[in-house]
Amino acid sequence: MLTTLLKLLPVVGSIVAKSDDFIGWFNDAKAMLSSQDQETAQAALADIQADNDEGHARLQAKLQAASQAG
Amino acid sequence: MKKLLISAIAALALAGCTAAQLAENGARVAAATADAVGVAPPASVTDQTVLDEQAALAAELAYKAARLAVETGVDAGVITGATAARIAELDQRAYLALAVVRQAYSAGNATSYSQALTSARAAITDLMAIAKKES
Repeated sequence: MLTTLLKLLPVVGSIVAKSDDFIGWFNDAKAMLSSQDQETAQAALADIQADNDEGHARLQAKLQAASQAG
Repeated sequence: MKKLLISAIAALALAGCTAAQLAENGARVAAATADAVGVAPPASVTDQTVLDEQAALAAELAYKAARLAVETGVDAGVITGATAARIAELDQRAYLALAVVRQAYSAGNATSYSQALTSARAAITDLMAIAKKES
């Protein structure tokens, strides 16, 4: 899993400086997928689940607003 | 630049989905994962357990990448109107599929977990595809 992500680094090399969101996401992905400790993995899973819950709600609100704007 | 960012995130999201799919294959992938991080393969029971978490993580990360791509498009003003409404539906479907993965993970049922991962992967791929197309 980690090697698959790392192989894609050259693709995003010119982009990473442009997006804090992307940098954060990629670093999170590296850290989470490289963990071999179950407790660490479970904690990471709980964190990203909470993040996705919040992010999903925010995105739905933005999409609803955008659909009205169109 | 926005399109380039979304394309890159899409590629990585699909990589995450592939990882999730591979994780379903159990011991073979456990050995590959251990090799990838330069450690000896752990005991088989632990392998599968940690891989369960990693497969769930991969699905969550893939969804996060997809929603970041969509959000980038919305913030840039390129996703509006009926397209925004359609993407909202796809986002909801992907999120619900992720919820099923979470339930299956908690239940510890290998069959339903595998099926949930497959469904979530498809839903997230659909979301990413329309994000790429419209952004």
